[in-house]
Amino acid sequence: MGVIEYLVMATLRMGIPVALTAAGACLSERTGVLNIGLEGMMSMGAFVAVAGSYLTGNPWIGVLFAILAGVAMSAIHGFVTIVCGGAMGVSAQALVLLATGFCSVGLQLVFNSIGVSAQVNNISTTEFLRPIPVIGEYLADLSPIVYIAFLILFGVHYLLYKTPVGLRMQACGEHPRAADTAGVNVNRLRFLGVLISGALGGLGGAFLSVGSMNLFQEGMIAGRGYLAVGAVIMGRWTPVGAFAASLCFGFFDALQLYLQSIPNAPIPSQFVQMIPYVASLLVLTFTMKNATGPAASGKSYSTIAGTK
Amino acid sequence: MLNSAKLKNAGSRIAISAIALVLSILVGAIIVAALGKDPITVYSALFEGAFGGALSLTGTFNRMIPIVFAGLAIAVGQKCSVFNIGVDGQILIGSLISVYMGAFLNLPPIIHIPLTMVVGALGGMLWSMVPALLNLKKNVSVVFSTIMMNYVAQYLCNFLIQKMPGYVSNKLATPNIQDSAAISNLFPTPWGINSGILISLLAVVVIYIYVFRTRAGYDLRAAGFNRHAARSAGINIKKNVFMAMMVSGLLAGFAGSTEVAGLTHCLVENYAPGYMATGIAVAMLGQGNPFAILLASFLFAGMKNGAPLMQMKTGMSNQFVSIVQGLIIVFICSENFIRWIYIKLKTKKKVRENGNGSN
Repeated sequence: MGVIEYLVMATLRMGIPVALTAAGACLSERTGVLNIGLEGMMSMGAFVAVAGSYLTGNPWIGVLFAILAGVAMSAIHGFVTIVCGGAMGVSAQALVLLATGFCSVGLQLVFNSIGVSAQVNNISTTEFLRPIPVIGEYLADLSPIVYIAFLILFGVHYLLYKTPVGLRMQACGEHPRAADTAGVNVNRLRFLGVLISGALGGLGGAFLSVGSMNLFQEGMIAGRGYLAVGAVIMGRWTPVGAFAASLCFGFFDALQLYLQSIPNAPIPSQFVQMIPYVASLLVLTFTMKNATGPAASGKSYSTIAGTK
Repeated sequence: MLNSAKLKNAGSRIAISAIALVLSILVGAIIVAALGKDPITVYSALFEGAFGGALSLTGTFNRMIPIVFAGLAIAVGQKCSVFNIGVDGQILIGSLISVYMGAFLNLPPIIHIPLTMVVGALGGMLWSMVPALLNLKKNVSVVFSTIMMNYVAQYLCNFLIQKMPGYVSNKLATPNIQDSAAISNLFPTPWGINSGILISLLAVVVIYIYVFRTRAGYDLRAAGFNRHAARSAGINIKKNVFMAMMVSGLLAGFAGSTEVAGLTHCLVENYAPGYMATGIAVAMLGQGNPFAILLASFLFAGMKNGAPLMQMKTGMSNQFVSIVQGLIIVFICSENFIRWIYIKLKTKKKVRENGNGSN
């Protein structure tokens, strides 16, 4: 396979999980809830998808379980930050910790192994697209989740900008008290945003484990959940922007994989592996100029905490 | 100085942490039971591995050293409302620089030891300076940049370790530091507690004085509490945020350098002991008070030390400790909820009493 084809396919494979998570993170941040714990939700999604596929033999059931796991984790985050008014960054780190713990304990429980699961059925190809002339081969080599991701991108964009619910969600993130006075149930919409971000994060994680590979390995998420949060900032808090920024990161990821496969490369492999992280840091540094997020992002609006 | 209001406040804060701890242990027990094991056996194995006997206690005290520093690092940042989650990377860089200082110089211990420790700590500070500068000059979110720096540190350290002269390939580690740079244990085995613990105790006192008893610390806390009010009072927010990151990075660097100088004497590839996550849990449980952080670190060090024995005796994965850690953070974050329920119960009781009284 030529370099260009490899890079395009790898970009999609590496970028879509980040993109899915970023679309969800964008929605959540637009309503005012920072969700840095998406790394944990992706981990849980990845593990649960593999476990589900192993237990039922059907990878789609695994994906469904992954979405539910993501929703469950984000519900905890939502309760702690929205209802109790807890600090959003700290709660997120707690979730990442919990996810790591659950994945490890779960690996031992379900697969009786440490570090890596058994191989399971996966959905890494979309066979019914193969007969299409010329591009059919390439289209078929991508998981159906890739196509679902584009649909979801359209859905999130439409939800946020073209529906009354979406406009109210944006209001919650800009000035919750004003929205509340206008009759919007701020906390309910914020909760909705967080749950959707959890679902999409779980789906993104499931794609990494069941959509492009066929097993779960501890640490396989490797910071992509955090890259998704960065993508939201880079994309100026719009779903399409976040999606595009994620695919950029996917490209850097694909690039480092490609460079590692060249024998006798002049650049040491550790520096190559650094590329996605350094690149995202540099890009963010130089595009940060007038980037302002939703005005009330990160601030709780809870009766219990007295910030209402 | 010690009036009833202050005592009451302290009492309620201790109660919150205690309730969070108890709730986490309970939920942990439920999880253990759900996995088909007996919670009492699991917890007692954990306790035995943590505190049962001289060797266990020694291990716990030794594990405490980097955790105290990590907890202080996170807490100092939090005092200024900065979330420095780059502590893992800063610890790594601090450890690496300490190894360079310790292994390749030949100096009398009286110079070599402080040099290794302090330069290592400065290495950690250097690593936190990058996100701090990016935040100061380019307004890049500290949370994001510190996380990216963690990954960069991981790969950079792996590369530098492999390229270090004297690389020990069957251990995948750097060469050991010279004996002149190592800090010894306080007592002979089995009570081989490392003298690094004295340094961590010193750090607790110094940080307490800095944060709570100096003008600079006051400015730091004011900037963390309410940026607008602090700015109106003439406090330079940007400078204080930068200082918080520097001090935080320095403390993280000390975590790395004391561990290298006292316990490990080298640095292995892919070293990821997870001190940052424990540091966050400890800082939260101690609610930002350095002495409370010391106590909490003892508890968590015990959990980490007892986990392998728990795994050996009961088959429960030692990552279970991560789950308990995460639960503690979650419960402390929900402290408002605990307080709210407490107030609700109290007012219900009062209404009932008043109702009875008026009849």
